[in-house]
Amino acid sequence: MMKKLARTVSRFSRFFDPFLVFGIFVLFAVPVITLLNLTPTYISPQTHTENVLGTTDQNNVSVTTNPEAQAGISVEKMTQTGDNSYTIYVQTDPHQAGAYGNRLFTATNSTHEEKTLVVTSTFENISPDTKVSLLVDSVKFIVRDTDGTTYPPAIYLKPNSSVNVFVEIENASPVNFISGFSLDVTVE
Amino acid sequence: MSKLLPKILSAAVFPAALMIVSKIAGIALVNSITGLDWGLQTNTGTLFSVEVLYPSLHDAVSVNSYSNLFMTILLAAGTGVLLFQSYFLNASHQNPKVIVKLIHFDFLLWLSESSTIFPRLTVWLSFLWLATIVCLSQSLQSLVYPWISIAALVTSIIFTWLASHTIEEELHTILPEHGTLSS
Repeated sequence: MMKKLARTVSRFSRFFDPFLVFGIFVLFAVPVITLLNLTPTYISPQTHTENVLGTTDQNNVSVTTNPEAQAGISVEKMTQTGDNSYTIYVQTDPHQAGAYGNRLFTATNSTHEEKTLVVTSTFENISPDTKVSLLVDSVKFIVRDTDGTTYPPAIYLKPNSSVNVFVEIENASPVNFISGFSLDVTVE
Repeated sequence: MSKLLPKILSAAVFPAALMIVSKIAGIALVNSITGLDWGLQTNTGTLFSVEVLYPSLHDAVSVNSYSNLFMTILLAAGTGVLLFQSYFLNASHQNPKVIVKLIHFDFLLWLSESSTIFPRLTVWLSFLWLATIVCLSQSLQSLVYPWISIAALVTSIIFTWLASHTIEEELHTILPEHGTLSS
């Protein structure tokens, strides 16, 4: 009986070998992974800069906002959110039905390469039927249509040139509250 | 079931734990000696979410280097003890006078069987080499002072040579000539 039991244990014990090998592997791997994760890090320079009026990114493309309000449209603030990206907060005062516009910013490409500004938008506090467009050299880019659909226009920047970017806000009915939206501009 | 695998597994527990604890202790030691500002931050991008944070790259490299040095010294000390044990084990096989000397210095309890020492020695050497490889890779990324990695590499090479020399002598004791077992 005991012999039979010992033989059975001996037969099944060989199945433990892979588990032992795995256990050894884990015992070697865990300290190394822990060691790499315990490697101290340092605080990198802050890239999130609040409320800048103008800035130049690492690719030498400067974005300068228009400080003047016109037709109830003003740039509330601009925030640098990354090396090549900014967020422009636009505010509009209560207004009658119609189209209103103002210059938002000027982008200057000081490099000898072609650059592109990709503009994405976020609308949280705006009348539902508002149509928002960007105007660059008389070309109109629709950013938000009256049905709420948003589009991310790409503005082409020639080498050593600058463009003025205007915003046009259209409403079919009067807007009786202060509305606003943000534009994320990324230089590519 | 293999007899060697459980021995390796049980031998690996202590150096594995020592590697982690000595790294943490090294960081704490350098912090307390130098009085550097430090903090912890959570980063979900890594496997372990907690990171030790310093105000500058110089401080981070300094703490990382000296904590790695502390860890390597402890691993080398553990390997050194096993080398010492295996050396006297071998010497006692060849010369009975060594046993008398060991009794005189109260070191007899340090001796153990070769079947126990050599798997442990191999495991400790493996951990020492792992620590060296981590130091070297971090030196290439400028996260550890190069002299620490070079010192770890030299120590590992010397200890490996000593271990292989001891194992070779032990094999000669068992198989003295022509590869046949001694009676």
